[in-house]
Amino acid sequence: MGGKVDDWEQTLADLASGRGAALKRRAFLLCGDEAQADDLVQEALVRAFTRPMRVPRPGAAEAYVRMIMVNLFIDGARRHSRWSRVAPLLRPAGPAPDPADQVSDRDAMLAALRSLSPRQRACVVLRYYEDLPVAKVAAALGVSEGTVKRYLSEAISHMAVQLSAAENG
Amino acid sequence: MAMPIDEQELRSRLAETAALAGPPRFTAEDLAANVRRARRRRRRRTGIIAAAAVAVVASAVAIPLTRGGTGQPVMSEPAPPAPGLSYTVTANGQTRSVAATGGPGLFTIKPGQRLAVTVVVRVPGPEPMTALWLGITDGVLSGHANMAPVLAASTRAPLQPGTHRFALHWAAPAGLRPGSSRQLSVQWAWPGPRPGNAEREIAVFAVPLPPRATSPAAVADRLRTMARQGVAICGGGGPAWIRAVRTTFGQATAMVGGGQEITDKATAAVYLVVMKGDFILANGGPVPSCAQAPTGHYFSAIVDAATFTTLEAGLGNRPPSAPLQTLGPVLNLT
Repeated sequence: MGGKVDDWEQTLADLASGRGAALKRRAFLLCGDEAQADDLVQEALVRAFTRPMRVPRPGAAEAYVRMIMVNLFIDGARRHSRWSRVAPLLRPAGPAPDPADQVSDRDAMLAALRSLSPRQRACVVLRYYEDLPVAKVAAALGVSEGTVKRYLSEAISHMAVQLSAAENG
Repeated sequence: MAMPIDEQELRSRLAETAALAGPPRFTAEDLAANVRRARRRRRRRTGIIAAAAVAVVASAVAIPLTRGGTGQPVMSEPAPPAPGLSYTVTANGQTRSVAATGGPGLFTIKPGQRLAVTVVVRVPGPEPMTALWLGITDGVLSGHANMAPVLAASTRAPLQPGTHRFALHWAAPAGLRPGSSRQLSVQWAWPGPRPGNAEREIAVFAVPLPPRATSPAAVADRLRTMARQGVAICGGGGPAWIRAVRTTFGQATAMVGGGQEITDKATAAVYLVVMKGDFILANGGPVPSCAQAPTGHYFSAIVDAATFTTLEAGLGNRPPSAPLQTLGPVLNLT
């Protein structure tokens, strides 16, 4: 369909093996949870490849999957509320505690990220982790640039409070 | 008073936090298997919708949802085969037998119609079923919690081997559009050393298309609208041209590719729609920027001629392998 559909398995394999870890790191920042990050990446990959389409090159395919990941993450609040009732039966919530002291800073950062709304978190990840310009963040989320700037401003203020509280004990 | 966060520091801390993520737990093989399964489910949905007019129902299989009551739809490990329950569905005075591995029964209905439905469930044994739900779904099977509404539930006592009769009442939505459908679905759970549950559709309640919907002008209008909704246009302006031809699914896929997963519809009547321009796929939700999604100059879609369901859609940089007129008279939809 407009492309070599029988190549999808190879493209998927390349993405999963070559970029799977990077996609998961990004998903981890969005979800703040190891298991959910795995689920998010898998669901995005499956959705991206379920409908036959042309994926001209691996870089574009990855960008497409990343876009789906953000949309899935933002749209997933209702699903999450449903599965969160089951999740305690499956696995402990959140990452396993790490005894290393240096991890506490990262845990604080993770907690600060978790305290943001999904859209705020997506803005922070796209803008400061992926270094996308505000215009591209706005395009990815389907909102105006002004809205992105507002989300970022609110998110940074909120995270500053959270991180200060964590550092002060 | 909170200290402001420096943007560079924020970038650095985000990178450190991201590094906390462990290696992916999925493999390319698992993902490919999940994609194939999702394609089969999609094929089954499109087959079911097409059945509303052409009375060809795609084969349906039970989809194991979870094992032992845990897991998630895309993530679940390979589940044991579901016990094959069979059904007899009666609605509108018509009866359809639904085999354990066969397709769902098709019933044509009117919007707003009140239906009295009788379902006879045959549990093969030797194990009883621990639970069974019957309810209405809208193209997606995702557990009884998402049936709307659940019409019957048998959860208090095991459903022993043998036949069980359920009398159901349901009013079709008044706003159900011609060409659309709802499904009567069942989810059942079984015990044993490897307990699990599965669900499937056992009947399709479809609103047929009115005759006027297939007039040449109406066809052209529908196809034009569908093509324009399938993509977002980069850089402003409209498509250079939109053309369509009526053909068979097999001939359409031979010309533009795709269709490997849909082998049971080769002779089904379809419209092949091709649109030229600068596009990105619009896969629902916010439209991405042109730099972020696959782009192409030729958008092609294969649309079921009876229900106008899009069976395949794709985007590429090459035109079809042969002129559209080799398949029949070309409709200019520009």
